[in-house]
Amino acid sequence: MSINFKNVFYTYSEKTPFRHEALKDVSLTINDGSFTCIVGHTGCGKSTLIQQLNGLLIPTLGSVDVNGYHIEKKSKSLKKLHDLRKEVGVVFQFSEYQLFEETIEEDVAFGPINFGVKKEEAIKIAHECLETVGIPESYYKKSPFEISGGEKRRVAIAGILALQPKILVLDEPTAGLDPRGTKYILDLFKELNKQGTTIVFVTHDINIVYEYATDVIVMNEGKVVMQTVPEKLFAEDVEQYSLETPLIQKTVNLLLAKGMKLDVSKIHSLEDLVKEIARVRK
Amino acid sequence: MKLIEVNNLVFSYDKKINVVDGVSFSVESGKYISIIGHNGSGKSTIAKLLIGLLEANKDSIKAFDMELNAKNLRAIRQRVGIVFQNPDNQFVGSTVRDDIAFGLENRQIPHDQMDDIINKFAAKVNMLDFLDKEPENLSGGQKQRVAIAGILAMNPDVIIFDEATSMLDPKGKREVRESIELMRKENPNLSIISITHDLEEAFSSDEVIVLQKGKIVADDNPENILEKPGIFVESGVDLPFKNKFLNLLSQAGIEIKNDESLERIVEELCR
Repeated sequence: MSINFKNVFYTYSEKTPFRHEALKDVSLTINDGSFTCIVGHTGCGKSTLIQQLNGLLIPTLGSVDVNGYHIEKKSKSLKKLHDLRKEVGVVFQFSEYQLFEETIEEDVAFGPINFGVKKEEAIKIAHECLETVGIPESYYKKSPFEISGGEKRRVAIAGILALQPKILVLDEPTAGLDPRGTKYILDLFKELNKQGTTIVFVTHDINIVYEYATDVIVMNEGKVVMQTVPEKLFAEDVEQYSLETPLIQKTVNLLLAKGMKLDVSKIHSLEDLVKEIARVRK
Repeated sequence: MKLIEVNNLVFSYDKKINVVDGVSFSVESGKYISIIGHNGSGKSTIAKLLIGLLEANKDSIKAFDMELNAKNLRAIRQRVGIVFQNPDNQFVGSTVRDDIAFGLENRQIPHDQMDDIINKFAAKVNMLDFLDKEPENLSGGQKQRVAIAGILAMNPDVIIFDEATSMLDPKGKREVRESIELMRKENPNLSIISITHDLEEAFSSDEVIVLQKGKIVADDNPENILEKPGIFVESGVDLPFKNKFLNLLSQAGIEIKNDESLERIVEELCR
């Protein structure tokens, strides 16, 4: 079951002098099982868009269908949002600021308990999820306020994984993480995606799109300007969309311009590029 | 001239594990120092200790020939500014003008002088056209530039950037970097301590300190640090793209002689 946006408009502070139209006639489809990246510069509407996915924001006009739930103003299914939120887990930007419990394990267990899981079982789930995100056991009883920013981010992600969502929505989850932490988290999302979780990933890091995305949505000033696959996006001049060219793509472009006959379909990482260069030079 | 001297700095949040463990370094006038390391390596804790947001062990931090203690804290803070990671958490004014004015008001600068100072420093970070804008109408990069203007207006000797660009989009990052470059050009005596994961930025500084589990494992100029790739692996940080590319090429048996830029590497590969 995919996600469908039909002519969605969203306006903040409507009927006030501060009125701001953040989404303008957005229609798009996010395929089930995809790793879809949403890119665009700050203020283009990315974060507003993802908040429609679990009904935190309801479209001012238009509708959103998520896994059989219909989200539209005055729709009867709005009463079922509680159920939808079990299926769609959202990790917000600066998610480390959402931690509040006395211990790390209690923080992660909060979601399952809130959805009716018994405390003992919820703590067990919490431990599994903390292990998945690489938080050592010695941290479980610590206060979430004693650990570093990057570790807090992992705990926040574990808190959402504990709900076992079918769709995982992530708003800049790797911003501020060190490179090793970033790779660990991205590989984790890739693995979850392989196991069937749909990943919706908001990012400024175009290199993540290059290496991980199966689909990409480009936004600008509240509108979807392109919905495609990464190969097609990077075949164009992405700077026209205020995006940066990934460094690997930049290198590929320079090599192609100099006449090196690379098979670009084989290049998805720096390691692939070096293999391809070695093959051509033979 | 040494502005800040850190000597055997130790800090623990829980009195069990030292998150900063015997760190020593100094900040000279006009120097641009980057501190890199994995999450939890103690980088941001050091920043908070340097401006007295956390209490350092006795006699471990000396700034401007004063011990950092409760008595000297105010005098030291007047000469050290800090820009934090989250642009929304440090915007205190209702407009850009009010935000830059906040520090000046605290210092009781007369109102008739304030406008000139605000205009001067807003212009330096290219925010003069935004003086009456509210924070809701600014991008992350613009908010960070306002924070920099507010700090520059206080005429500090040292500015600390605590992952100040990590939450910004590429345009925002570029804007902040350009502001840093400009202020260094205009005031060569200004010292900068940048805590960052952005290695391209770190390797454009004068000195790179690599932290691992609260300890300094390397402290050198960027060229020398890059010659020890093992440090990067052990410390959980990543090599800059160009160096990673060169290492992989070398592993594949392709040695590049002229590696000064990506363009030169490509030229040699295609020769």
